[in-house]
Amino acid sequence: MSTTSFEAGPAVIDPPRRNGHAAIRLTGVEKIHRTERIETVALNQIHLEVAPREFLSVMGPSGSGKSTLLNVMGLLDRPSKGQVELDGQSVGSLSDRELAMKRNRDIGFVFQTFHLIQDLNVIDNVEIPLLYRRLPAGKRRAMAQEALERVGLTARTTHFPSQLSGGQRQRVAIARAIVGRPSILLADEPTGNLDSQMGDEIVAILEALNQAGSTIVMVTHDQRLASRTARIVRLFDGRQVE
Amino acid sequence: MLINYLKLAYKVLLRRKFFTFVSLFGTSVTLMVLVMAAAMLDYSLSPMAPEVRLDRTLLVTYMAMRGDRGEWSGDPGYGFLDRYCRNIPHVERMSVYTGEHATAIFMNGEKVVSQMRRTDADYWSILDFAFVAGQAFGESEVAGGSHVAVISQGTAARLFGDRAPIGRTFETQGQSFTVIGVVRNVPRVREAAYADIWVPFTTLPTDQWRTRLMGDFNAMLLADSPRNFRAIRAEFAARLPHVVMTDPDDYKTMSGAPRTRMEDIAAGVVGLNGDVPRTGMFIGVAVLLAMLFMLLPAINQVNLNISRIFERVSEIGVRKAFGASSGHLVGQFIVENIVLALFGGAIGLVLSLWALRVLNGSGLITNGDLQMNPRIFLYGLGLSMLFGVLSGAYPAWRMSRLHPVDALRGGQR
Amino acid sequence: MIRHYLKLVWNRRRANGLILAEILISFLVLCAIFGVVAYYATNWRRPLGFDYHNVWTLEISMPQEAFEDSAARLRGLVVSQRLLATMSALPHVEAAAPAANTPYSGSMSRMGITLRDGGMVQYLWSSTTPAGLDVLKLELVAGRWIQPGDDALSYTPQVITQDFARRLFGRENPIGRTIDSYKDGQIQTSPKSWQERRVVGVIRSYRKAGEFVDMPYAAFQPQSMTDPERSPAPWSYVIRVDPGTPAAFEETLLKAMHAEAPDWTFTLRSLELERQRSIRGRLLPLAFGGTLAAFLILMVGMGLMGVLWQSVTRRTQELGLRRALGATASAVRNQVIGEIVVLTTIALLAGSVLFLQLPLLGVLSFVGVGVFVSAIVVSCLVIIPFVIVCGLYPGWLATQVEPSRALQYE
Repeated sequence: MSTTSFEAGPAVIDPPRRNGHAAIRLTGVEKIHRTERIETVALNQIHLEVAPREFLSVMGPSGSGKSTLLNVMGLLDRPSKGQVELDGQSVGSLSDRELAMKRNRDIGFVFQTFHLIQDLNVIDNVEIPLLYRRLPAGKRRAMAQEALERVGLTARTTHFPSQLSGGQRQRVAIARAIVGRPSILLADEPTGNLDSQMGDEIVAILEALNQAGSTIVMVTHDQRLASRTARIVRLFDGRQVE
Repeated sequence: MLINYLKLAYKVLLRRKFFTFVSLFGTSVTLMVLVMAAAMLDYSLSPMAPEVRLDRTLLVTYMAMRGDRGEWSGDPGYGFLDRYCRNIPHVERMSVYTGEHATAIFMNGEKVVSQMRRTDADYWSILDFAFVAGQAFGESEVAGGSHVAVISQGTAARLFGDRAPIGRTFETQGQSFTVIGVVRNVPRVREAAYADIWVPFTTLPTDQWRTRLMGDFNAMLLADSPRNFRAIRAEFAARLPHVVMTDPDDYKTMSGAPRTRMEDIAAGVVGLNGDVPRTGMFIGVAVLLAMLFMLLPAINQVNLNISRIFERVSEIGVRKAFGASSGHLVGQFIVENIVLALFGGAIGLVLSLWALRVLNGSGLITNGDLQMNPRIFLYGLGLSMLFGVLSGAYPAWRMSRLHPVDALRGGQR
Repeated sequence: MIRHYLKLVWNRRRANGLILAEILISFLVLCAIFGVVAYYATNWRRPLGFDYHNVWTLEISMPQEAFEDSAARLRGLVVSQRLLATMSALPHVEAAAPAANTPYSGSMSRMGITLRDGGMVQYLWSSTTPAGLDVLKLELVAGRWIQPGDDALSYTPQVITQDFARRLFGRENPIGRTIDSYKDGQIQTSPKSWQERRVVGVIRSYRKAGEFVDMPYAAFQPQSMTDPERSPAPWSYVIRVDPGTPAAFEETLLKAMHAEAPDWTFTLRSLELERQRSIRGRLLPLAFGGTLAAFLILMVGMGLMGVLWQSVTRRTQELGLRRALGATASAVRNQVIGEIVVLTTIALLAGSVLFLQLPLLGVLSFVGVGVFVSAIVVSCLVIIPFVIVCGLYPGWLATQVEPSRALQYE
């Protein structure tokens, strides 16, 4: 999967399916940004299925729409056209509140710049998704502790992000992403701000999570890391290629 | 360079209209209150007609007799003032007069309550009343105990309506008086001059007050120069031990001192009636109150300024990265601040003019006529500049210490 | 969730320090204003104890020599007797009596005593005749009022207010008891035996300074119009006239007084007018202070809204992140408002502790603790909704943050 030919038109790639429904399915998805005078096509006729427990990489040059694709998958953006399904359920008709609940339960995000809240310590950061689930304090603590164990960061639970290294911060972000046990993880250039050694560690953690059953979609520009994943999807100018 | 700062300041302030509005609102209201307070203080303390010579006048308004029976304090009596206070060196002129008392006059079935004061002839030479008709009473009328009166315009209107007052009579406290002069209304705050009716003190019903040490009288000592105040006070103090007490078994000593108007007011406020109060303390208290009052708007302003800075943090970072110095940036910020402060001050002054007009018209301060004079205007301007600098200094200092990198990242570490 | 807000606010306390200071000061300003209002309101509800309608006060100033020696003092009393008789006989006058401590006047005649428990008490002290009850329409609740002959007994009868009786004797019957002043645990005896103050009656109250001020302790004793040793010549009288008495009557009254005592000075005042002046004198500064406070608080509110607006703009990434993690738009709005409410609560708690130092340190001891507490409660009830309103617009702004866009920025 390393040819770089550019083809117009939709390309449908069938992944192996288990348990019937795809974890994520995009059908004819388009995203157009409109300002006063300019129309930008961020995504153009995307058909994509992600199977449960798949580890998928999305690659492409900057401006190709990778992040937009992740946003659409993560229900942060509604597509201008097309349909998005999560676990067989269409999300197009869901209200803002229902979308928020779905994100909370089923999806975890990891970002290039970590997006940790500087004024909260590690474990408070990790607990945040559970706050929106209205769990009691004791349960939140316990689940956050467990998530931190899974990423190997139990020694620094009361530290603040400013006291951690880049790799540690990303681990906190991953712990936060998995604390609610979502089935899907979306990672936008998770190693972009890390050196290669830390980056390897992070991808190793993601692999471990994938082994344990999470569906992972990772946007990256690092070919070496992408080749560790099962499948690579390439985007160029908002279109899927090859 | 300054023009650039100003143009930029104007644009920036217009960009965030809400912030600009809040700053202007806070500054102008604060300044309005402070300028009003300054106007009132100035009004009470500085020489104004009829008390035009107040800056070289000492007043004897409070004395005390002390002894085993306790203390009897209050206004001095005619006996004390006449026997022990005359002919003090450096005193050009001395006047003795009573306090003003409410008295009822019945005219055509209507009750008119007026403030009446009884004075000597020198009273009219130390104070400058504006006579609209007739004249004051002189030595001969005082000596002869003539029942003549000078009345204010307002009293003339209430007693006699449109008719010419000179020569008319009125009755009060069982005595009859003939009007020989009419003066313009005197503001209540002119403590020595204020009254509605002035009559010779020799018209007091009996005679016993002449020998009393304590009573209902005050004295004005007009000095040839304020530099001789100290000498006058020293002479007064030197005479006190020689006072012959009328009831030596009850009261043994007499104490008190001549005071300036400011000291009089300070004594009233700070409550140190026995000795000459330290006016420094009075001024200190006034300044403290002003600072306390400015505290809330100042904190508000500082807050807003910090927010304004953080809003432009990335802009600052870019500028710094391109080599702009802290000085330049801080300077620009301070110019904006001063522009805001000046505008706020200007609005505040306009509000003060309006408020002064309302206050004068409301009659809350009897015959009040507070003015905005150039001195007050300058105080106001100075205050608003001080305000602008104070509320901008801390945020500007914070801003100058920002690392360009942090600034570019949006101010978050 | 509140704990979460608390953590956020607490960890950001340095940045929030100034806002906290502002809210704290505003709270204290409000407490001061509402404290005064509460004090006035508490006092307003207490019974006045007398009726001010159709009552005049007559103030007299006698020349100094009227006190020189006992002969002069006797003469003064004789003249006073004639004055009283004359004024009582005039048409329109229902009753007249001498009284110090006339209502709504600045003059106060007070006596201070030390009680057995060491407490110092000041009470209004007034001499009057039996007619005093009718003039002021005082309410007798126990025992008897002053009666003729009371000025010649072997003791001095006292009619005291209920609060005074309670303070002196607790729940015991005050009738027949004596009002004593103690020094070092011993009763101080008076030089003359008839000076012993024995309670003969209790009235409900006599709050002569008016509805807004608390003056619970007062005592009336008989005025002797014949014995200068027992009582001096009265300085003031209270006169009840029938309703509808024409204004011209004042002149008649004053002329009659002058006729009896040409070298004395008389001033007549209507209690109703004095009451209005007194009320205005109290309410005006309060209104002024209140208006000023309102402006200041408004200014603080606008500043607060500006700062919150700024804060939301600065925190778009965090808000976008929270949406990504599952917060709904209203959750984000509630967070903005919730944080400021938590901050305000901290400021209110600190402010309340500060404000309560006043009664704890015994400053303004004449004001009951209830007033301080009411002031705090009302101020809280005003500030919290106010702060919420200030947070509404920034809260709405927070919901407008688009998560996808917010998270892109680095």
